[in-house]
Amino acid sequence: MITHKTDVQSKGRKLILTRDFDAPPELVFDVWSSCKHLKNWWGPKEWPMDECMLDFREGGEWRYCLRGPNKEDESWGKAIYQEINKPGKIVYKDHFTDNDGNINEEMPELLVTVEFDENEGKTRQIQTVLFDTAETRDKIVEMGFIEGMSSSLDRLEEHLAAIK
Amino acid sequence: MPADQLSSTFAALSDPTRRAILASLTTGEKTVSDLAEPFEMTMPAITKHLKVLEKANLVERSRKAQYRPCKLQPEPLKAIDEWMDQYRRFFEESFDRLDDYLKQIQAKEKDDDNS
Repeated sequence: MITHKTDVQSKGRKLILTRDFDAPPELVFDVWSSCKHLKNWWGPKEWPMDECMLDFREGGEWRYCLRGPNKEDESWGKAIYQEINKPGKIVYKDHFTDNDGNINEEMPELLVTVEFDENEGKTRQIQTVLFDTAETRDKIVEMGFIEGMSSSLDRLEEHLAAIK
Repeated sequence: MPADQLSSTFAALSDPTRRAILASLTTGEKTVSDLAEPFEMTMPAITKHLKVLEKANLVERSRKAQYRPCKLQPEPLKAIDEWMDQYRRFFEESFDRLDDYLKQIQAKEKDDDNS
């Protein structure tokens, strides 16, 4: 049983976040589907969502801006809805953009699936985030890059100890 | 880590030759001609890739020796892991707020029903 905490699992390129909410799935689905609701909870406390434009339909876009504690702290994002299945599932692709909504192609895109499962009037929300980037990272790991790196750091440590 | 630094790391990693260069540097410093050897590439072509890696702070070229050996700089790669971790925290904090918000709107619905 998960209570008021998010269970986080990392599986390769996937990050799976599971959380129980004391509300029916229809309501949890609703708070994901309009700016009116999202502005009340999307983003960390220090980085809340400040601007929001949302067209909630498959193929539609959700553009948002998060603003941080410093004046120049801002981060624009754009989600494109791939699948909407009320009240069970929302799938979207999340991108980094500039303030005109142009996608930053160099940054990885994220495929986010949010599922809402009903359990005695409550909701188990399962969010799966697929990182495009982790594939790149995995390739590097496969090639022994990280291992090579840590062993050379070990060597450096030994070297530093020796010359001290 | 600022987004522009991350995107230059990702851009640098997007090319298979550049990944191979990085892998080769894990075993130690190399000269440009050492690096060019396994690829059927000219030195200027390898140098071009090295410039991208240098700009992304993944490779450093020594100025001490005339042949300027290349050295791996792993910090930007660690930043990718940190970035994924930031994402996890982003969602965790958002869901804490969502939890409060759901309580709030359900309490309000109840009030509205009772009035």
